[in-house]
Amino acid sequence: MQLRCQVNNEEVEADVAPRLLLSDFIRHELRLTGTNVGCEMGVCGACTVIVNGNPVRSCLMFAVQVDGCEVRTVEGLAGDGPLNALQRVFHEHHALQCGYCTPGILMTLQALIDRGMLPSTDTAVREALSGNICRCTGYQNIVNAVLALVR
Amino acid sequence: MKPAAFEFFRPQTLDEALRLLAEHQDDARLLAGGQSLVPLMNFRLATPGVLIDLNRAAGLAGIHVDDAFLRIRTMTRQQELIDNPLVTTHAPLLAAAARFVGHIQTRSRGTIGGSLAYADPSAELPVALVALDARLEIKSTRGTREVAARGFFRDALVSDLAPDEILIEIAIPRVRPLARFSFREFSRRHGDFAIVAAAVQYDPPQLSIALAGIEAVPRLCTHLMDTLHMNGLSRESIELGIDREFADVTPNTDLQASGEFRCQLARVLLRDCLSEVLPT
Repeated sequence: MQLRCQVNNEEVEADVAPRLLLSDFIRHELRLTGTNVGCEMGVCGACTVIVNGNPVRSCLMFAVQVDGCEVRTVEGLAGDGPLNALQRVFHEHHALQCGYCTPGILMTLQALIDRGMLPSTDTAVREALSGNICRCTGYQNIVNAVLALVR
Repeated sequence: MKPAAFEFFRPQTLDEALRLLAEHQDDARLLAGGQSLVPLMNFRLATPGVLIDLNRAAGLAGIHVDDAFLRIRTMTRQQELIDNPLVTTHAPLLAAAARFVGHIQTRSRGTIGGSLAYADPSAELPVALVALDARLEIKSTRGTREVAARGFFRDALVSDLAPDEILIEIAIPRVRPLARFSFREFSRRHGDFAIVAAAVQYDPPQLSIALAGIEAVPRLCTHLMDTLHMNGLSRESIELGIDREFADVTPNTDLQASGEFRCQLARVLLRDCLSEVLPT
């Protein structure tokens, strides 16, 4: 099935099987391997990308569903340039341990930043990130990083 | 794992979707938000031969109000129920329930119609709509019909929908601005399906109370509602009503929670909801 979309501001055209998941399209066809795949059942949040401004689980969408859409992945945050503000606070606050969950967390937060809805209290940050699991349990520094960005 | 192969259709109109569904019937599944269906497909617990994607069908999403009802088209995303002021004004209980549904990533895709059609016994939106006495508009190529949310759920994961029918619109009686409401649930982690959830709305003199997670379908607490109606809203009357309510309950029991625990949770949640909502 023909598919045309924008990924990180670049036009993409592909011929894909309908059953191809968006996460696999991004990783295997586009070779954008920053998007990680954890559970493939929508629980862990590692595969979160932004589609038309909304943070979504890319393992729960078929690639053909983003036909005509704008997709952003973690590679689109900084491009080849310096880290963006969100990535920088994560770096400064050591808001990652193994890093597997980080791309999904960044994309969830970036979608909230883009809407002007970045939470500003400890509780609200934890609620906003409740759909992203960090198996290293490094949540405290993640929350610290977000709060530093708000301040 | 990856989904098994399927034939994919992307109808642009509701009529086209209805025709496709009539043609393929049981072999087809409707794809709304996909937040329950796609995990099942990824694990091959569901292997539909045909997938009919409703996301591009015109006119299936949106929220508006008329004289008596808040009308929500079924492809409306769950996150919209939280963000849209029409919902927070005219059906605040539904907005409160939606906050407990999954996470922002799943609510951005998941739809209100999908939640209803999936009919999980512990889901938040079905129990809220039972409490709110919503009416559901259902279409097929055979015609249109309306059914009450209170009669829509048949069993765990089984709704009143026939294989060729699509849920189109949910009409919720508008509440008055002074109406009070409370939605509470207990779950192991934020965003999980509830173990037990309670939905209460008091738009005097109308008091509606419903529970999820107790039985196979949302339970409208008619014994409790009747007792409070007849005996007044005192603490004693709440206790009497709760006792009467649970006299004929055969609660769900599973690995997450025993029936006894569920009933205990329900009693606590009902007391908390009622004390939040009723005049003291």
